[in-house]
Amino acid sequence: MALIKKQSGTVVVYDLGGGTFDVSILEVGDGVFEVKSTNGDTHLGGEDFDLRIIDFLADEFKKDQGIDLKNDKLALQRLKEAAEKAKIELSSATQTDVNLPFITADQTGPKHLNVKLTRAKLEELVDDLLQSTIDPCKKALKDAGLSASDIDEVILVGGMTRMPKVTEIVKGFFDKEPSKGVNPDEVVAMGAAIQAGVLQGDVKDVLLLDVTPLSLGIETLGGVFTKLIERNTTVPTKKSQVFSTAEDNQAAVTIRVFQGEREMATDNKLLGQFDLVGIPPAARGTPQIEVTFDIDANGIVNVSAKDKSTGKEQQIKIQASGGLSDDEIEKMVKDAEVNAEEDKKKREGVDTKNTADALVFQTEKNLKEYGEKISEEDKSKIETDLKELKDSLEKDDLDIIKEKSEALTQSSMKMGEAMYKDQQGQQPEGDPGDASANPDSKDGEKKDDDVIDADFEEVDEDKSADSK
Amino acid sequence: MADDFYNTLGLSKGASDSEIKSAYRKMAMKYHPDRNQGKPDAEKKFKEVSNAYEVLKDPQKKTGLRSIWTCSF
Repeated sequence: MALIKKQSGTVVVYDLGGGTFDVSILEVGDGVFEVKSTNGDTHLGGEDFDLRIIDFLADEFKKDQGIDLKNDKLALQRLKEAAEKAKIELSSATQTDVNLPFITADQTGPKHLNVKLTRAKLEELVDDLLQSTIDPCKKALKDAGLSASDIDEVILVGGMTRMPKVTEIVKGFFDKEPSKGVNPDEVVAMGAAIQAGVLQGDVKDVLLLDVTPLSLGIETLGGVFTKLIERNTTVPTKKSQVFSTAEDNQAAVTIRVFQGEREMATDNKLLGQFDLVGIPPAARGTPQIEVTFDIDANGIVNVSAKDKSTGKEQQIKIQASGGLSDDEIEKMVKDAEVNAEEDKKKREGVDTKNTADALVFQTEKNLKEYGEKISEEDKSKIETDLKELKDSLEKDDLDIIKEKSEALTQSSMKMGEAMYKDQQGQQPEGDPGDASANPDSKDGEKKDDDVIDADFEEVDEDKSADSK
Repeated sequence: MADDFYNTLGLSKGASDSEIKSAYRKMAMKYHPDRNQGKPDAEKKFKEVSNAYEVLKDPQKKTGLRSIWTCSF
């Protein structure tokens, strides 16, 4: 415990066990162990290393005796045990003999396996497996916003890390010797015991802050995935964001809850959905629907949607296990990377259209109110640009939509000027009032690309129109 | 609103990064549900503390806060 108390700094836990590889980055200090990020490979472990040895032994035997031992269940079992034993021996010895007498038989009589395996050969057989642990380490560092040089200590966990080559690879990447202070086989049990002590109240000076592995959010206008909780956020956690309606007089919204990292909602995992009804008739973008994600201490996700004007609220509870498995999480993260470029384009496409749409709506509204207060020339220019933007939305060419949006924004500035003059004429103090922050959102603001009204409205709240 | 984040962590506005981190850790120790079994208020407080820390520890978010502040006419 004294050892733990003194610990301070950034630690990497490199866990290469029997079946999976996990790398975690933690920030440690004042007894608090804060997980910053995690990554890994759910299909990489000691057993994969054994397989390489088994293949090698079987190949050697086949070359020598012409018999494929892999077709023989009993022989295979013995090979498996021998491979594991050899692997372990080669952590301390530089070579070992694999002796399996009477491994099989054919018409000519019994056959024996006798193969010499060196440490160098083993390292060659598993080199790609070892190298494949580097990428997750890189990604975990990136997620944590750190570089290898920021790491103070590397801890090896899992029997497989006893292999000298593992230490070498880890040292090569992090540029420091892994810590020798812990027994890699015992460290997991120790950690579990300490955490049990914390939960029971026996261990008072240690706290583990774990994180949620994947982002959580809802589907919004155009099918995009709007995150409310980013992956690697410390749990328990609670986050809220205010959304609004996409159509005039929209009476209900459907909240579809997704888990994942893809930009388009349906590429992620749907965890659940519910409707909030009874929204009083209002122009689109007016209602304030507050969506809250609350992950409690048991890992249960509570999602609620509340109409701030009526106080009406609906919610669902999603079990922690209702999400993705470790395998699925890993696949999700990988898929997101592979599709990053394409996803980004899709999202930008949706955002461009949504923004243009909102601009058309707002401009028409303002023309009605302020059209008289500007010159015929200016007004006619705005009307032309407005028509061109509407046409471009029909044609669905993103570049042209962007171009026409720009043009309309520019020409509409004349109207903006007229509006400000108008307001200043009415209010002696000339107080524009609200800042751009949404006063109702208590947490870190999420920048919203849909908001383009700053030129025209004095009250501007961060909002994304919600799909009905 | 920005005051709330500093208040939540029991800090004054000029607090340094290390003060912010230290305050967060103390608060986390105090309010985390693992150490407060069966106390829903503690869990609620922990979430607020986490959110405050998330904003204050991130230079970009912190700057965003400040520019909103100084914007008041």
